Amino acid sequence: MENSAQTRFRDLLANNEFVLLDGAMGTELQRQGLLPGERPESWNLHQPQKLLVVHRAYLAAGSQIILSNTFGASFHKLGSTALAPEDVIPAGIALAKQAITESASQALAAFDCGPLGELMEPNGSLSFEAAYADFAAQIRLAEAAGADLIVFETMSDLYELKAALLAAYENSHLPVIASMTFETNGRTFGGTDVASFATLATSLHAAALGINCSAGPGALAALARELLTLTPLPVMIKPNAGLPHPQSGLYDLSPDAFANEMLPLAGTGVKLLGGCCGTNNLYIAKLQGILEGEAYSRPPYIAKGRICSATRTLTFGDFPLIVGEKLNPTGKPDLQDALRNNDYAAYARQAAAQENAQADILDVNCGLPGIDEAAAMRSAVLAVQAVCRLPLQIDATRASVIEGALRIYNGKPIINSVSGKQSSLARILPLAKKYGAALLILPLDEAGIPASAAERLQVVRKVVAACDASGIPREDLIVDGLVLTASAEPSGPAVTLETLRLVKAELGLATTLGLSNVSFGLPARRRLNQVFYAQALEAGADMAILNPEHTELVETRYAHAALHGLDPDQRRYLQYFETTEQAGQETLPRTADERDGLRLAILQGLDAEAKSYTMELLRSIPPLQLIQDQLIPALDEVGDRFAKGITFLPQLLQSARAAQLAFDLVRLELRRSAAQGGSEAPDAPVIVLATVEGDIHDIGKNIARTILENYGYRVIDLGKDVAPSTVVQTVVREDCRLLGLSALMTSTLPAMEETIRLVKTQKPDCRIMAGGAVLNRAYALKIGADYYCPDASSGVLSAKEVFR
Amino acid sequence: MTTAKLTQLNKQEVLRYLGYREQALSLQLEEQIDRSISLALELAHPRSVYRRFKRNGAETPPAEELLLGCDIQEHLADSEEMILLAATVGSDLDHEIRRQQSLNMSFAVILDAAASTAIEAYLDLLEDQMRADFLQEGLYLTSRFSPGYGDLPLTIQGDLLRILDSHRKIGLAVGAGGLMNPIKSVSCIMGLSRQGFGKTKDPCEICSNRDNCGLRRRGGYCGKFRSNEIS
Repeated sequence: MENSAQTRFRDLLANNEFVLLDGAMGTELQRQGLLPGERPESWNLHQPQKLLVVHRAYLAAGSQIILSNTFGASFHKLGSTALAPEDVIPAGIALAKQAITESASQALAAFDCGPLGELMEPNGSLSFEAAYADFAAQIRLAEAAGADLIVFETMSDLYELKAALLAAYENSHLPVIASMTFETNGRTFGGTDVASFATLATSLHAAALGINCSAGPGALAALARELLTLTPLPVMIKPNAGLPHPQSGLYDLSPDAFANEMLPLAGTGVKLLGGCCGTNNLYIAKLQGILEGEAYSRPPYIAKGRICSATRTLTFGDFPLIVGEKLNPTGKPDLQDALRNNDYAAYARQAAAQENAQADILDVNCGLPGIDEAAAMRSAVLAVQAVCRLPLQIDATRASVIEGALRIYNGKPIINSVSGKQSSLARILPLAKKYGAALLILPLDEAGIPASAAERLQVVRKVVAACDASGIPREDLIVDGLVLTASAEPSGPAVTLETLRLVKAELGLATTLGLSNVSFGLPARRRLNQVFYAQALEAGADMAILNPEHTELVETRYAHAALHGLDPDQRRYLQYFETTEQAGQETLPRTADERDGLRLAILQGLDAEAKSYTMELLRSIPPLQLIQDQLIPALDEVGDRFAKGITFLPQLLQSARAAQLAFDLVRLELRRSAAQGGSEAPDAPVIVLATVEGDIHDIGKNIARTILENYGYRVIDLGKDVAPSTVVQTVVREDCRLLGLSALMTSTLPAMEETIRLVKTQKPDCRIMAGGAVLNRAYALKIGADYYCPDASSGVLSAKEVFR
Repeated sequence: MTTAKLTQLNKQEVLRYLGYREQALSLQLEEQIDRSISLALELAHPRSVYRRFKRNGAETPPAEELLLGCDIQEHLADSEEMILLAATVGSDLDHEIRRQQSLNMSFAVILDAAASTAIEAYLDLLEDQMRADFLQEGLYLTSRFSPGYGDLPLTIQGDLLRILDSHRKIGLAVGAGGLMNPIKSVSCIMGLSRQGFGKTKDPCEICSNRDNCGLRRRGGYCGKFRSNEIS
């Protein structure tokens, strides 16, 4: 499949010599008269001679790989111009190749591909699929035009790089160099660190990794050294000529100074060297001269298992890891509702809460009969990664469900799981290989769960052999000890622990276990779980799937690490126990009348009091009556005080939170009594909320949601940037009588108007309330809204009127 | 790129963004506001980029094409040069505000106000520093004028940021509809003159929201213009 140029590239990477790249393109074109804001790619069509001059100068200086003038040739960047990628990409690559031919050089012509210039979701509005489609189309053009390889460079968002790498893998045969730009604090603008970049890009089939732009060579030395410890792939450095002067824009390193700073980088094991902004052929010539006679060598790479999110990397074996188990709808009505209503706020809440409770990884499961699990998993992963920076563990059986999540997850996740069954191996291993995911192995097969640890080890060996054959690195494998219920299988826990020990000793693989199962059917489950967890840690479990809100488990983890020398100076142990001793909340003087106590707790926004008074009241008052006689009047008073300016927004929301905690207890009681044949909660009226298409500012809508939920309305929150058609489908499906729309920017008001128009034709009995910073009453009514909501509590007034 | 450093935020400013009107503050709320300020300072990564153009110079055309409408022309009437500036506190704060909305809406709203205070405070620092630097050259700087103020349309946002190469230089991009990402970001145009300026115009005079504005009714002032587009 490889052509001769690709073979030459592989040889360049494999031999014992340095590879010289080229220097800057953009600043060179500016020197030749490119105006600020003018598209450099337009010169591929209109100033080809000037581009040939730049390319030839680099080739004369010794560049072995030159980059085409296509950094900004994406469909997104050129969409608003008269230029088309279909023209400028082939032209750019043809010019690079022409320069090579005319210089009688052996150099390779790389397709240079930069970021799309927009921020990805959730920070911006660019979706993963849209980014993927843009890169895929560019790459197909580049390969057809004869590019020898692809260089993704100056990337600052790991999610965008993931889209680019997948697009390259699925749409071409070209090898890829993946390069990001870091600030001197070791993070990209998007917050990605070197470890997360290395972990993701290594697993997604890049041929070499690099750091470019950023700063001068000296400032990148530490980052380059770090990168060399995190990937077995060859490493590229393409720094700027120092820092630009704020007024003149000129860079402060001379060609000599640049080359002198590059030399130590070459000595640390960097293989590919070139320059970025501010460099030119003189810099490359000096670099070539200084590298002459220097031999390339690199310190040995030590392979370790790693997973990552966009901003956080975890290394197996460094520290015992906690995998939060709570993103699983089994036995959780709020998550089941989330899945049925396509409203993933509950997943986001549960994820953020587990992160706060010291989870390191979150298991995500969306298994619920009667739903589209693949779509649900995709939405859940997007919702979770929008609020939480922990690496994820994708927990599903069907390949299509897992694959959808592996694609759109912003990082390198764990697949939960593969077993020794042939059908499972055939289904899961190709996914782990293609998406570079870590893989959790269950030691069971067609014959069932082996009774002994030795037999489980046999199954693991079989799976490992299959992984070896599929090219999945051993360091990415995690073996589950398989926890059986102690009450049903008294020898089970000992077998699980022995399995962990055997796997560690015989195969040296990472290990995990699902903790809670052990205590099923026994009293004092939490105590049993805690002891078993300590035993598992002792047996060498690298991670465990558990409920991190059971703080005794988190404490056990920190204590184990502190006692086992996994926590130098007990730093994390001390930090954990210091921060958990939180400042106490204010308290109310205890009142004899619980009703007044609850009212005051809500008015003052005191969470603990609101809960304790509610629990006391529930002993004597039926839940529905408590809502009608206590909670609603207290909330009305809260709203009234806000409307009169006695309180302001944060106070309103503190009250709302206290009331919500009270409501949650009442709902629990309702469910309990309904289960025992008592009164059921009446169906709450449905309110659909959405921030309109094109608008990604949703804090106002979220405030409205908080207050509406307080009053017991069932809110279906469609999120932000919601297409009019989605809104219409939902209000029709839910037979919804009140819709709330929000828009913050003037530029998105037409989308609001269009949404209202569609709803009015398809669901005429649905009233519409509209709010948002740029709206006023006159305009809201003009575009067809029934109610205008100027502040946080006005939505409730509309709701009361509609559901009178 | 400049060296302006953000080391403190004014608590009164945070309260002003929250619509505070001298209500009694509980200790709990005071503590949350203090915490939001330290968190905003910790998570803000202030970055900026600016470029200076001679008006009617050789490099001017792309910058001059941004000056749509009467208000910006008037703003720059006495300026021989213009400056395009963009600044952001980065997306870590956007993420944390989003995360807090899943944990504690009240704190999320307070942090949002602290983040708004942070970007404005950073701009003020930046402006002071630039003003002092330019004064050494004998040049005076006008106030900041952003897309969306008066009749300067938001639609120039993309071109303004592209001239500054802001996505590559400071990680600031424009999304659909002229919105900036990260959210806590500012772009603006300023004038430079040898003569100095008379009294600068009261922003409320050209603000479309002047009749609706709660701040103004209470004798306050947001320092921003609002677009006239929807009136």
